[in-house]
Amino acid sequence: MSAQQEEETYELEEYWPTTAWLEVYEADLTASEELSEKMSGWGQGFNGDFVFEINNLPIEENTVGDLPEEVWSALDTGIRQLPDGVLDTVLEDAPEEVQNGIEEREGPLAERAANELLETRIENAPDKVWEGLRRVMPEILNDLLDELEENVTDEGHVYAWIGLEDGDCTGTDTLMELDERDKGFVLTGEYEQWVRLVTGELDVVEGIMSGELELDGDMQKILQYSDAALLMTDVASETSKRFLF
Amino acid sequence: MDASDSTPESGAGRIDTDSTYYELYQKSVELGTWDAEKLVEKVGFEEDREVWESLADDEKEQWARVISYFIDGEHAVAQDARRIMTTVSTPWFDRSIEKEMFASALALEEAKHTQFFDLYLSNVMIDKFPQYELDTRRGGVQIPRTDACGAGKMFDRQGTLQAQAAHGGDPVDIARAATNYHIGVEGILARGGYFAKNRMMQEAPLTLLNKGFQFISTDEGRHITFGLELLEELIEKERQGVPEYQGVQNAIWEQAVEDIGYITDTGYFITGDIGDPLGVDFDDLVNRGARLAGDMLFDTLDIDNAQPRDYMQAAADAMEEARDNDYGEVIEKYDHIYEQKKQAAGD
Repeated sequence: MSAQQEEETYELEEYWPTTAWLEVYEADLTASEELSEKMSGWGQGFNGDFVFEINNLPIEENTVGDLPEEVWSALDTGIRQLPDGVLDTVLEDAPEEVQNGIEEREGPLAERAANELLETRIENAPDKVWEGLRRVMPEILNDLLDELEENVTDEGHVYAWIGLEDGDCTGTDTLMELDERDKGFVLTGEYEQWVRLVTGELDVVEGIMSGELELDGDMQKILQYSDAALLMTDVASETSKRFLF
Repeated sequence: MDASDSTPESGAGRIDTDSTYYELYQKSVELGTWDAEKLVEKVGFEEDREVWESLADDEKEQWARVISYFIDGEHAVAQDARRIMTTVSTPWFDRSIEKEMFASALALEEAKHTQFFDLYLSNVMIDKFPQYELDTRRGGVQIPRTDACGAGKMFDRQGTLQAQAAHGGDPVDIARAATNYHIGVEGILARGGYFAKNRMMQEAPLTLLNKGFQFISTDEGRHITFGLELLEELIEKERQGVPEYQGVQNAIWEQAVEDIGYITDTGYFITGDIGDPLGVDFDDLVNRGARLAGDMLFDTLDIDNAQPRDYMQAAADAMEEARDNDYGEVIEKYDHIYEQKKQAAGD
């Protein structure tokens, strides 16, 4: 692997919105002394846990090839470099839909196989991956497909749960159902608005006032701890991240 | 002559019939002609009295808190309408007759709203308003409930700002007054009140009151559009670099931030402070208010220098004060002042 390729490799925790990124966010929240101070007393006598409801990740319209290049380029290169005989063996266990897709394409086998996989819609990708392919897939793509299967709902929503009490982050989790865990507050928005929020382009108050975000919960508490609530979203925008779409 | 021959041609005569202000005026002529007395005659008080008498005391108190600020608010805006007529005829607005025409319609409509609430309160809710009789114009004070919450302070401020704007005020003064009146009072406080009213009607359906509110909210919708048009005119001149208009957007934002404190206090006063027996829901009310403000300040006016966090901070400060406030005690204090004034008026 060349030095340039090494530079382009990233860990799962760097991609937003993954469970691994959420754990980094949890660590950043915990490390923030300012938050500990401003959120002192938060969640005592009431449920202070948050859910960030990130709606409609563009997994229906985007393909594997639309993901950042560093995520799929190793798969593309790997498939194209495999001798036809080896590739035939790998494809033997492929789902029928994948085999048919490759069959219907024109050109050399490696090119057809690579294009078939890269043009797979992200929402369908977990179902089109088989054990043999996983062996030649880059680890990050493997992890992301697992993440997609286990932490993104069929509708493309992510429910990121953040436990908060008395200035501390008590844990994070991703939910497949909004009601899976108790929470006191839900901040909801479309994926695009969340990207603007966690990059600092959209202020959370402006987002709520303009209707791009919606906050459900005890507004008296939010106003009482307004500095802490704002700081929480500030920490999210400061936690480093890469976007999948 | 066919019907089309009798339609005035666009732009004919001195009146600019293409003007938005003319359109608003024309809508007032067409839609704002409801008659408060006739409405009362048609629907009658009986059904509302029956529902009112069936309510628990805390439910009556919640209605009384909402209606207090509506009736004092309508009194205040009816009083200030003449100042708006003066302000829109100043050279800062190129002296357009269309604005004056609409302002005259606004004045009539605000008077009618006052009339409706006066009739309603006196005939249905009077047991909750023993201190209603003495008009502020005749030495009285606002209803003690209004004085106890942010709305009362907001109406006092409104009078001052409208007077400053009308009597030699510059575009910055006018911007402050229009923001307070059209965005703060009509655009958020009143529309938040309609939201509360709709929730309360689910538990306590007061038919006549609801009908009156429907007419009033339609009228107010035109007033808000008028105010936003005025502010857009001022902002446009500021953006064009006209020296006298510099500072207009800053004034709009500062006034909006000041007013949200009064509005938050009023929102808590009519819900959380009395346990919200008719289920308005303070959280939903705050979200509604935030959206209304965002639509007007960000979407419509697109204020350049807005810092949304200032807005939240002002609401948070007001909430902190509201939590420590003993509104009941303040109401008692104003009850006492009212009684003294009433005795003095009787003497």
